[in-house]
Amino acid sequence: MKTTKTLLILSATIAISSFFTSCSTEKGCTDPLAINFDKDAEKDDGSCIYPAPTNNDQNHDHANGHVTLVFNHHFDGLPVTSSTFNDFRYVTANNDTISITKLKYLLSGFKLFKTNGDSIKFHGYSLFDIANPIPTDPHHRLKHDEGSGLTFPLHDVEKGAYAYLGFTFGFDSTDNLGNYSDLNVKNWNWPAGLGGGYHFMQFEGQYKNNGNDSTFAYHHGTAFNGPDKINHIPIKLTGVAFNEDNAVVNIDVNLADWFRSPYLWDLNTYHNMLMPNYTAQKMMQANGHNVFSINSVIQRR
Amino acid sequence: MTTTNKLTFVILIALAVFYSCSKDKDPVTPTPISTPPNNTSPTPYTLNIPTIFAQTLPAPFNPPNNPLTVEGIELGRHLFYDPILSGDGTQSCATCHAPTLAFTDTNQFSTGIDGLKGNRNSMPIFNAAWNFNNKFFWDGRALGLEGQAFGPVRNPIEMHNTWPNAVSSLQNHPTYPNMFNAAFGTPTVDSVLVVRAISQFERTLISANSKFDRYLLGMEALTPQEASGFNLFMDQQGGDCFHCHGSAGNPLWTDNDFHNNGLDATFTDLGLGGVTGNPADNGKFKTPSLRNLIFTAPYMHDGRFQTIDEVLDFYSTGVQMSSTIDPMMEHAANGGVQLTAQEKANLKAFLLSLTDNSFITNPNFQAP
Repeated sequence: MKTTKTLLILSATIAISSFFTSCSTEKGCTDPLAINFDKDAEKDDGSCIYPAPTNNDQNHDHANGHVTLVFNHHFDGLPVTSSTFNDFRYVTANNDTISITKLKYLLSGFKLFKTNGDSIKFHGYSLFDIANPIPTDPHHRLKHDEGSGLTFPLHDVEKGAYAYLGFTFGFDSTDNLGNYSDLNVKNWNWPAGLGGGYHFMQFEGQYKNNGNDSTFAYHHGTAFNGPDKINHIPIKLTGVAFNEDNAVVNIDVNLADWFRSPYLWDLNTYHNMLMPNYTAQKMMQANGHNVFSINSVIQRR
Repeated sequence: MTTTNKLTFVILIALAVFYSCSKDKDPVTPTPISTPPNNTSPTPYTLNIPTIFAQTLPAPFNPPNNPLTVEGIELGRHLFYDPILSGDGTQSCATCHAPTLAFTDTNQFSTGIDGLKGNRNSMPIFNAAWNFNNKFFWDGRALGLEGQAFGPVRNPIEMHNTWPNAVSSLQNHPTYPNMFNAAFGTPTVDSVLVVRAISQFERTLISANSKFDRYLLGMEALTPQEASGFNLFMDQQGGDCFHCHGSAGNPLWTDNDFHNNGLDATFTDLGLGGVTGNPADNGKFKTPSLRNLIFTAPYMHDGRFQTIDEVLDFYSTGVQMSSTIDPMMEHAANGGVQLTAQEKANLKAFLLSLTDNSFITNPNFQAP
């Protein structure tokens, strides 16, 4: 009968077409280390789930204090994250329009100061990378004192009332003599011919140069080619009150301040070859004092 | 039409839709770590870490679900050199990744089993266990050595096999099932175990015994030309190479990161951008290590430079500006670092001091 034949052909067509159209490139998690690794997946769809990193801090007593420093980046109020990269959306004090393509910087020597002036020091340093706000690489176990992404944890904080926070932008001259394997493998070394040690910052992007797109590479480190070589920036942030009990300190990082004061930064003059440029290095050290400020403190209790 | 026929059609259609892509609808179960059913476990193996790496770099990475064992490495070496993995049994991994050439070949583009050429230059294999980025291929599309090894076997322009076919060939082989049992505690071959074994072998491919390594360890002196070349390498106003290609502090001689080094003004190959979909990543390719250059010509992701001289000429006066040119290519607006002939000769002498002859003759790395 005609109707039966038609229905047969129709159902066969549906069967065959649904078989072929739904079975195109298989998407899934393609990382062999993930819990949900799919060996048949040909294209990663971002669904990978990883086991939680092991916590090496077996002696972590929850009665001891914990303060987390969180660094939030902006450019005179405009947020800066890797999703705002490569966009000419920022204007410096010198009226240069810029985009950002990289921001990596080193912080070390964290200290908390009590209201009575006593200070406590914390071990560790962190290489911040805006492009990796939460390290997606699950293969690294965080060491006790190592920061994660754009935060830095202060562990085992003594009981007390704290009034300010200090840290070093870069490494001071003692720390800069060290040999840090994690910084070495990240290619963070500063050439021996310029004093050795490590970079303090790599801040890069593009700027408009008479209508043409030029690049800038604002690399900060030892100011080797002049008398005052020590070039890290001691930062002290006041205006907060918190105690050791699970405080979160939100720190604003205003990148516009790298270009503003006391030295108005002309990118046409100072955009590359800045590492051996003594003037540029000292200007960075001076301007960098203004970049960090406390936004808020959230106290659990 | 009868009710029975109507019902049959409905059932047929329902079954067809239900089974058509049951593969997509199955929950993905994690691959279990196999426990040996018999009483012989594989023998753990510890990598021999070169002194210069122990002094400067973090410990090499090994995924927890694929610990190194003597049996796993041996199986991996056999698989690496065995054309059984290819569709017609004519090509092994080693066909395009030869040990005497630091695990690459001499072609600009390699040819697969069907006579089809690829579009990217074969990459050398060494020190992969220190690639903490864990991204492989010129465009970083594979995660892990294990992830990378899945690709070539089923790539139509390379080994052009299917994994079920490859696994079946191995299963029916007189000795492989025993080797899989020794390495992984099961004689049942699986593609995951194949890539794990190959990856174990690849992790043992370590190269850190060049003249420059011995110089850094105080065991050998550089010639004045090599020393001058190294100074240029580290000088922003000289060759300006260190920001991507390492230093005495980073003897991998690569940052294992992705950059646009100014090869082209417009892109025919998007590189990393083709994988991430982000236009800011267009034209970016993985920084290769500068070790063993004498074995690994031609150079760049598309093998466009046949000699080191051509590479140095390019970085000197051939650099092109483009929308994603890396800001660390600080002389790009001038076409490059403008080296003199003498400077290029010195820089080349330094680069050649990174040659590790013991790597290409190491008996542990050769075909079984």
